[in-house]
Amino acid sequence: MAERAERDPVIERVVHEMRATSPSSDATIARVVAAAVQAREMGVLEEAEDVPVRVRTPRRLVRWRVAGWIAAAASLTGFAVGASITAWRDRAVRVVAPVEGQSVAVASMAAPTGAPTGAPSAALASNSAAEDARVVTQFVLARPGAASVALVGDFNAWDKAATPLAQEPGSGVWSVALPLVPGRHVYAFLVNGAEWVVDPRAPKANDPDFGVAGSAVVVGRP
Amino acid sequence: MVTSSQVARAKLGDAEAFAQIVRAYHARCVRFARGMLRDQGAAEDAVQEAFVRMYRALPRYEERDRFDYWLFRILANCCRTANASLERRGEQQLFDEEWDRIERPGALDLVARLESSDAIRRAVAELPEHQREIFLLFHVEGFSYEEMERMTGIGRSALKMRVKRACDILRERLEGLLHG
Repeated sequence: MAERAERDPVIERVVHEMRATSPSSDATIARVVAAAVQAREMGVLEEAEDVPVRVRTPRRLVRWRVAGWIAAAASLTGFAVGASITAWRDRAVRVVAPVEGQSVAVASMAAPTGAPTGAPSAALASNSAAEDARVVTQFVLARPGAASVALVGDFNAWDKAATPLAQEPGSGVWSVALPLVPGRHVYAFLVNGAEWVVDPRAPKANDPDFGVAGSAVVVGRP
Repeated sequence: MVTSSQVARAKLGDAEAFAQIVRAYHARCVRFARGMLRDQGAAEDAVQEAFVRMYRALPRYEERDRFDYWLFRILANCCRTANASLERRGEQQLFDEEWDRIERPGALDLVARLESSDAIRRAVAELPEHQREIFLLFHVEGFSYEEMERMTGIGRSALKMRVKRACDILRERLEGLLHG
């Protein structure tokens, strides 16, 4: 590029200086990998700084409370509705890194329940418990004439084959209900395997990292 | 550089493949983040946050984009967020403590300071954030204007102006050192 080719000696010197790197230690790499793996497994990433990632761990599921009238309204066009579950007990879990020399594989292993809160093993144990606390959420999209509609989102790793919607015969309304972990989720519909459609009734979720907007749904805690 | 196979495996959740990606880019990311945040600890935090976000968004990554472009787009976002947070908390410091112990070059020791990388790092650190980011992405990390346009959402002419102004400031600050 011309601008780079025409760099004068001063800028060349600056670039040379600023390009110097220090090698990253194995422990640093392990810490980063462990944090990322754990966050992805949890499906939870709080934005606030200095706030540990928290997972609410259910003691047991007590009852379902499906908002039927909302579901009926949802059938008119596309949006997500949720059912909630009660009875929770909190367990704060920090995304923790392995200690120096500990391998990433160890840090990402599942742990037995009952481990002390805050330890890596406890974080992962509570994660599996959180899996049981999902709230059934319905997604609906009116798209007459579509050959297929799929739901993609952070909850299914944006896998277009994971969550197909079913069409109510002759209605052009597509829907699916799936259990989601409470929290904010970003999703979109994929029509005919290729057309990215945001939910017209849901808040838009801009994604400065990915560059393509999706829709946001907040699955509430009971 | 990472291979398509490593990326594909990491997309599916292969932690070892992801670790290879982190190994490949971590030092470079810290270099950029330190230039942006002027603090080693804050830089490492921002880089960790970027890799966390990257791994989470990886299933959506498509190889039509250069991987490092995509990663740096996330990292630049993290650095901007970190800078804003530091400013809000009143903790923004212009330099590392280490850098603060270095006096600004005086007229008598310009040539000596030229030999020190600190003068250069200080000059870059004193660039306004919006110029510093674009200067680092373009000249140090080697991204094209087209890539930076998509990365930052800033038009090409504005990007060129920022690069030029950053270079002008650096020349003004450092030319005396070079020719002094």
